[in-house]
Amino acid sequence: MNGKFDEKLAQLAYGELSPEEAARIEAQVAKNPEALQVLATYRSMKGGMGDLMDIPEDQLSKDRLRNAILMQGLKPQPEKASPLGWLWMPATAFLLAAGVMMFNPRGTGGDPVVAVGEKDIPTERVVINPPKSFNKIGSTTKKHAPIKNTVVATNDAPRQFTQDRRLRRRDEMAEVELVDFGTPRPEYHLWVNNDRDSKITSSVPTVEMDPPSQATESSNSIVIIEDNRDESTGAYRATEVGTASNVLIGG
Amino acid sequence: MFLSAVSAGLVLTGAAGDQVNRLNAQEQQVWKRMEPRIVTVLQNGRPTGAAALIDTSGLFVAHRNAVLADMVQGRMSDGRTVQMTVKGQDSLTQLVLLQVADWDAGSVQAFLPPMVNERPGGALLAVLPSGPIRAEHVSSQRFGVVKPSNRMVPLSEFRFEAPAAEVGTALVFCENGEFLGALNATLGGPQAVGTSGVGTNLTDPRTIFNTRPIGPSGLTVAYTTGAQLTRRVLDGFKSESHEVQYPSLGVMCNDAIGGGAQVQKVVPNSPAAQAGVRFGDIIVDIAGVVIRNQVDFARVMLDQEVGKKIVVRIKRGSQMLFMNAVVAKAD
Repeated sequence: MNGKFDEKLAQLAYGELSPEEAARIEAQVAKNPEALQVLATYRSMKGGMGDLMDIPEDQLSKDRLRNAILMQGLKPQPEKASPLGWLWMPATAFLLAAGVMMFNPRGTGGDPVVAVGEKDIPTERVVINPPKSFNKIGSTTKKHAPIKNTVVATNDAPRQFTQDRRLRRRDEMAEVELVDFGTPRPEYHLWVNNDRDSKITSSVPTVEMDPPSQATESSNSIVIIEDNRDESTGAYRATEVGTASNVLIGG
Repeated sequence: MFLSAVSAGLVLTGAAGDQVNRLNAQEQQVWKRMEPRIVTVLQNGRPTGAAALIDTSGLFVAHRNAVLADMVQGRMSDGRTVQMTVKGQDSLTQLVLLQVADWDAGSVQAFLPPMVNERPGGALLAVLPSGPIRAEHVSSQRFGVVKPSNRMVPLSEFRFEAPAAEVGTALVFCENGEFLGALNATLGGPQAVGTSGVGTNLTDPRTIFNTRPIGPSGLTVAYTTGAQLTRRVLDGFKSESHEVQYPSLGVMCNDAIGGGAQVQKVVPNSPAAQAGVRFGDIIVDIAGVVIRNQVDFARVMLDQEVGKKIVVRIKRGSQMLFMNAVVAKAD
């Protein structure tokens, strides 16, 4: 197969031939398995290019594609800048500031506590006495009033609590509310609480958090067949690993 | 010496008979058809494993753990002994090719590799030095990395009840008599323990390894290479050179963030190096097949043929490059 025919195949794959010429080339290709394979490869390339989000449609012609690959790589065309484009910045800053004020109605009055849980959940009170070593870190340590921390609720850990890191700086005993969930919770919610006196978290609307999801492009769990034998069987030892992402694969 | 060999033979015959009796009627029928094509490998008169006929010219395969010398004796089901010579071996499948001189196959047919990859829940027969035992196929959708070559291979997972000391040289067969492969590895560590952990002594390594709290007694979880790989190896063994060829580009990869297989090492003078592949490149397509991760990369590479020209599509920074490479034979 010569270069000219190869060129024709590329043009055929990218739809750059007249119908008559395309029919003629296809007839030739049908008799030539190697040409069939080359044509399939070109078509596959074109299909693959189409799947890429960052390639403009007009680069999917053969000549443009060649230039893009050989000269500059596949880059999206720059978008024209709008003359009013800069206006979004102060508007966004204003909205951000307003949002912060809404989520922080008492200003800097208290230590924010992040908790995961639900409202109106029966609680029981426990007292934790932090270790002595937590009491004095430096001479500038301030004394804080007791702060209530609320709970972490997860499906697999029904009876847990969180400790604010700042407990380490406190000279006084911290009170921790411990919440006992009877049934697993299917959803996760997040509150921000600045109200020390309130027993329950504030009424700020909840933000739903998606459960962790695996990256679809990562390899699934695989079996590592070690280079040493199991003494009891004489067979090589196998271990399962959760992901093969960090395992180097030869090929 | 003679008496010890005879007594070992009698012990073996008795043990094999006991094990055959534990098979159900259908499995016994399968074993009866398989038996003339199985030779018991002997070392100083003691059985070390089984060898399966793969070609009527007298080519057998055995587990490499069962073959402890370049020339070994084998005993056929009718009691005759034969001399077997090592002609080749394959490290990935752990199979050794043995040649029996002056083999007269008669009407005996050779074992074939399985044509169907997936048969979860299907019955298998694992042939140990002491005879056949029942095994259960779990999955063919497993992949494994074989150390130290770091070659990724498709695996079949299966499990069976057996004394731990005998499983290391097993050959595994499908219920229809097709040859699945050699037992490659057994699952070690806490993963082998059932989810409930009931009845297991976690301080005893043998218990951790062997026992699952299901079934009438402990189950061993083991792996053999996938049917596709077994076919490749048997074809290579039966070729004139008795050599198994694995396709290679000469790179080592891991998963790339965002998809693809990222090149971490390029072997000098390999097809990849000659094509211009560099460290950090992301392989996104091989021969028209999209590569989403390193498993795809391994799977697609295993499908290639040595000497074939392929186009490799590579992402390098913001560039997309197309490289032509000729698939080479792996070392």
